[in-house]
Amino acid sequence: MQSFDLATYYPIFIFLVFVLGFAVTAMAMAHLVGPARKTPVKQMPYESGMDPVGDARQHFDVKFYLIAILFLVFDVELLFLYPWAAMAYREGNEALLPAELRGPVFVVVLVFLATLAIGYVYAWRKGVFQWR
Amino acid sequence: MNPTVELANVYLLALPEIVLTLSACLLFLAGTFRQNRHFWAMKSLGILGAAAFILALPFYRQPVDPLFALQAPNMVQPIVLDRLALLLKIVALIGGAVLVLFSWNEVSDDLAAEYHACLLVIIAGVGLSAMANDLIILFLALEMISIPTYVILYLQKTDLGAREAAAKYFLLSVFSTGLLLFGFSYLYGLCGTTNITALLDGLRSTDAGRLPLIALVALVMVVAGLGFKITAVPFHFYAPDVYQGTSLTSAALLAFVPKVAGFAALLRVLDFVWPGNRPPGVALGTQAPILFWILAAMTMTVGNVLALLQDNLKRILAYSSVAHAGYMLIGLATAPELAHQAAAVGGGQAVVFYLVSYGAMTVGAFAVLAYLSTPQAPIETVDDLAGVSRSHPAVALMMAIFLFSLIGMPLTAGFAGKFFLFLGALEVRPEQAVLFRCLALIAALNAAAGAWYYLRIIAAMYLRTPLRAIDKPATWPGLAAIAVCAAITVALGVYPTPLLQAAKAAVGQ
Amino acid sequence: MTPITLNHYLALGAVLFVCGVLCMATKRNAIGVLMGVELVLNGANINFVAFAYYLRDPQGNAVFLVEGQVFALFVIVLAAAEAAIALAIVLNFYNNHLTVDVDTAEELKG
Repeated sequence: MQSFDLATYYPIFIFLVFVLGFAVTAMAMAHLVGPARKTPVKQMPYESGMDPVGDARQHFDVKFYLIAILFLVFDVELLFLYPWAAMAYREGNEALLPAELRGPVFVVVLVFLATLAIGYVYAWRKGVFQWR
Repeated sequence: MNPTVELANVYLLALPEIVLTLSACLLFLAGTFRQNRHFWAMKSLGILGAAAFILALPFYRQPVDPLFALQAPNMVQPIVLDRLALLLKIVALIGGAVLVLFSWNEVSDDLAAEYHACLLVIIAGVGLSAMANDLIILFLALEMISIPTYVILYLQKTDLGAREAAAKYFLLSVFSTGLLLFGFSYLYGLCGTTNITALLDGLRSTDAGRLPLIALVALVMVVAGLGFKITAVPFHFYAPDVYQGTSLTSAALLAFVPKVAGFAALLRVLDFVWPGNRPPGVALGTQAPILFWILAAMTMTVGNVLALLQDNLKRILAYSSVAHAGYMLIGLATAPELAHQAAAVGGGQAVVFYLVSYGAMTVGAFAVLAYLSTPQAPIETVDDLAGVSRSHPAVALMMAIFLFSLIGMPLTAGFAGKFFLFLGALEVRPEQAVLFRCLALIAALNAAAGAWYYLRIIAAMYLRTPLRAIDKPATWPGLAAIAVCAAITVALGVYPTPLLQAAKAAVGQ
Repeated sequence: MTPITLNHYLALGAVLFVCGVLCMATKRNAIGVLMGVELVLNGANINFVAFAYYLRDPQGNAVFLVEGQVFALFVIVLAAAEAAIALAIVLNFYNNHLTVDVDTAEELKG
């Protein structure tokens, strides 16, 4: 067991100082040496592109949250499928699932997907997907 | 054994719960096509009946006494159908049927299918948490109860108070979930397995004095997390606010279901069930009885004292639910000592008995309030019940039975339950006698204090003149729910032996 | 260099837990309270995964303990389900109170 040695980190500190120094110097030099012509177009946040409309801190529409909730649920359910897909059909020494169980477990996964499908149809019937 | 058969056996054990959950999924979907509260309540009663039929089927083919024929949990199976699981599953199904009857006319047509589907998932969760022999299953089963409860709290009423109640319950409940999970993670680390039987075996083989500190932390966290579900002080403070804000059906659900599941989980995880030759409840440290002693004393005292100050009926019943959790905790505190001296009625046994009695009387009391309430004129304060005995003599009589049972009058379930719990505390052998006699004394004082606020309600019903007319048309489902609860309350009070025997078999002592 | 041991992970889990509890106790914002809950759940998750990786059988051999990792997976899914319900409740709270500050909820007292 080795003890903690600060000396091994010195190169990182030197690197940090160098990076910060370079960034600050470059910005300061550009500000001091470069010519500044302040026209209205140059003052805009995006010099080329659409003119910004309104305040950036406006509220999101509630509709987005509905979609977010649905996405969250359906997205995370994949977490159950991933270990099954990665483990179920391994062969030889790495096999974790006995071969006889592959069929039953597949049926269980299908039931799980069917439950999700019911959830999807429920959301659909409730009109969650209508953009009102 | 063939792994396919093994897997199939596990699924067969949980077949009633699987039927309940899958039907609930279909109910959600079908509810978008048809909106009729009578139709969906009838359907969910049918589904509960089907689940009960499936539960009873194996015992029909092998006609042996079902309460004594089952085996202890083993180290392989994630779920077990032992006597405790069977008893609590029957209780859950009956309780579910009563709740369906009770909420028959209390939910609106457009939400009926969702409400009943959530209720079915909750009942399935109670069954699963009673059967769980694995921390993962137990945790998920408890969440199967919590998450539909949030939805029910949130769906049923739309005024500000109800929204606030839903938000409050949700935030505190997820906090308790976090505590419980953290405790579980340490339990897992102690023995490297999530199977509860294997875990407790590993802990028992360690010398009690040499358990790592982490075991004590796990004990405290698990008790805190589950203490929220059973409304033990200091995790009780949400109860009065949430009960007051939400509808009567949800309040009854909250008073009954989380308590059953919480005590089932406490009994299983903390080694009160199937303890073998060792005293129950001390696998995670010999400090457990003292912890439960303190919790019991605090919970009953705070519940009863604060209930004295209330005028709102829902808040009174909320604090009474806190107080009764305190009485039940006495059983957990005395269990190790009583098992040591082979007492007639063990601690865990008394807890299971009281749990069933408490469920019948408190759900019944809420059902009476719901039966008399109308949306325009809800029954909220004690004054609203004034003179009910004249307009509704039968209902008032049944309310009086529930309240007498909550007080602990003889010939009611509440008396039998309190008798076994308090007697247990008095029977503890000499070395610890002073400590537990103090607990029995505190409990007796509390029961006396509790009598005051229950009697106040009875006095209002029978002695005062009505302040306003209660004209609610009679509905048979509501009456049926009240009648079932009253029948159970009286039956358990008059003849407690069968349930007492079943409870003894359930905890395996 | 100190090798990373089980204790480091347990300490991290405990720190996350304490941060989560403090966050829940002090935040007035409902979303903030939820973030505290997530911290607590993930603190427990770190414990589970660390135990699953580091625990040895009584003979001191490395064993593959799948339960801890499975538990962690279930907790992640559960946290997502709770977050979905929380978003619905908080949105409604906002629509009623026009704020997500939980201290403004004071309908129920007594």
